[in-house]
Amino acid sequence: MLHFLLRRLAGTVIVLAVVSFLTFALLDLAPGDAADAMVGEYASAAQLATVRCELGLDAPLSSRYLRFVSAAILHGDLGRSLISGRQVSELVIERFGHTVTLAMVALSLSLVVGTLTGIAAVAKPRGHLDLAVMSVTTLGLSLPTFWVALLLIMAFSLRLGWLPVVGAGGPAHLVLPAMCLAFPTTAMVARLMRASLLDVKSADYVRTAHAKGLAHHQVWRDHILRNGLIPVITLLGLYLGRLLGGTFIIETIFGWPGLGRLVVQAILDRDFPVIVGAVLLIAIIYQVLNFVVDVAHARLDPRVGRGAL
Amino acid sequence: MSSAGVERTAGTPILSHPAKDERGTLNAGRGIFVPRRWSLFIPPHLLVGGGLVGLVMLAALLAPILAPSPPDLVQPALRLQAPTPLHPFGTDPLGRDLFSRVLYGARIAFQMSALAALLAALPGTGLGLLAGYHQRWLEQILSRLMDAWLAFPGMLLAIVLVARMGPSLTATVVALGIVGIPSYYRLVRNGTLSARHALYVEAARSIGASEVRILLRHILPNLASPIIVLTTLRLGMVLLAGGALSFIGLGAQPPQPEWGALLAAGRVYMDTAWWLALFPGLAITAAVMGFNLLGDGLRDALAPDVRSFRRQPQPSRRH
Repeated sequence: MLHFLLRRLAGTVIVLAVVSFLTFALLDLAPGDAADAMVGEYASAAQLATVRCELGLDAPLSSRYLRFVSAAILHGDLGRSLISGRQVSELVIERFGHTVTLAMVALSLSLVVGTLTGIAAVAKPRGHLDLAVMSVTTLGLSLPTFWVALLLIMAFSLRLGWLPVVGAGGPAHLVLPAMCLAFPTTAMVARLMRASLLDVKSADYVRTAHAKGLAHHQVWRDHILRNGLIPVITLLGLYLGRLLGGTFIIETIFGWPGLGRLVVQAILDRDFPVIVGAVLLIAIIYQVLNFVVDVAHARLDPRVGRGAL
Repeated sequence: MSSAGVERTAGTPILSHPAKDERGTLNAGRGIFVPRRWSLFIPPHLLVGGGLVGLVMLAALLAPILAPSPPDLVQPALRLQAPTPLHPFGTDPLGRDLFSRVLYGARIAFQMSALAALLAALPGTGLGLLAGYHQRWLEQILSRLMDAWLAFPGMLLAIVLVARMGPSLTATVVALGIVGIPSYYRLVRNGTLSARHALYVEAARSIGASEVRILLRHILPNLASPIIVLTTLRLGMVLLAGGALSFIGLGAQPPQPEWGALLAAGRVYMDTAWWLALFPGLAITAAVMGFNLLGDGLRDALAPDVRSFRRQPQPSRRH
């Protein structure tokens, strides 16, 4: 277990180092830097140079990156926002919880609904329910989430007035964003679950389990579901990225005060320190969620688990 | 040969094996399938997908002819009109005809997705061929690089790239193109790896064909099918992501009638002018679904090795 954890931790650190350097370097090359933004349009070249020197912007990229990383690790200092002047670390921490809440609710929602839908579809392959599930999931993978979000707002918030339109607050604020974010992932989980169950159902060990006289529900619980879930969990790691990518869109539409919305606003404002900080934190969330999926995978699949945990 | 059994497998996911058809009739997972005594049969996947894509393509090509008015013609007297026969999709707050704008949006959609796919396919394929054939330090470096690339959510990378270039349609296209490179790389590298020792490559080498010739004239054509399938699916993905970026203001900018941007502009009025929030969304859905179904259908027909065909039932002669 310890070995597995250490190996995963090392991998995570490498990915984060690459991500932070790439983000830092890419945004560093963008026209206009912090000094430009601070002195304004009408400053002379000399003033600009002075500010640049004060901020340490005249140093080469590599040394500035190292300084950024050491400040981030030692003091949790990610620099200041060019727009509000606030500490990026403060801004990012404020938003962090909102994004994690949204992502976790959406993830649980798509796992539960998707799995159940997949099981229901497999109960009678090629039956009416199966056909309906397959059609709806095909549609679900083609519908733009931002459009679904618009339609849901139109229906539930504007026409019916049941749910708030934007913002964060009580659980009611979470319903629509979580649903929209979970939508494509649910469709994907349902299809994976169905495919995987169809496969497992006709496996030899399931026939054996039936033949040795196990009750129907026992075969399902101990043999079919347990094995059927493994590929779903494996692929869930891949869809986590899509889910987190969706937070940029969903948070912006619903005015959900998370990291995704912070990044989008910062891009529109060209507020680079905030972009770097928020992107890093999203990358961290992604790595942590992936880690959770890996542990779940190892617990579920003894072939993986024995070596890893 | 009943078509009911065929329709039921429509949309079978990547991982599934074509389910056994109890009555032993035609299995649709096979794709274009020529029953022994019957003429060419095209499964619903391909038919519906191709139809939708064809429709959107026609809209893009014939936009100047079909559009009732130029997409940017401002007619204040006609502002926010509900759909009428003259303006089938209604008008926007500036009195511009939404139908015309959606038609011209199809042009942007095709340009955007085609360019982004090309930007991903060319470098991805080229690097994949090189890495698969050479297999020395180059392969090691490229593969590690692409793994790191994939370890990062695509949308996050696209967002960073858009942040770097500033919000615009061009930035969106470039970002979505770059994000797609590793998929092509992996596909082509794996294909090249397995083709490297194939008999036809040995034969080409033995008659003295150069490496470049072997790669481009022998190996690449053999990988055409999976590349076409990946590209078709990629087109739908780019449309969705590009629309989303435009919708949140990071992609196409307002006067451009990009579908996501149209939705974003109509959002403010959605309480009173429902048509502004409806038709551009329908257009995106139709196009994306078309590409997805077409991609699924093409995969079944062209690249059956993408999924396994164990338990393939024989078509029965009972009718």
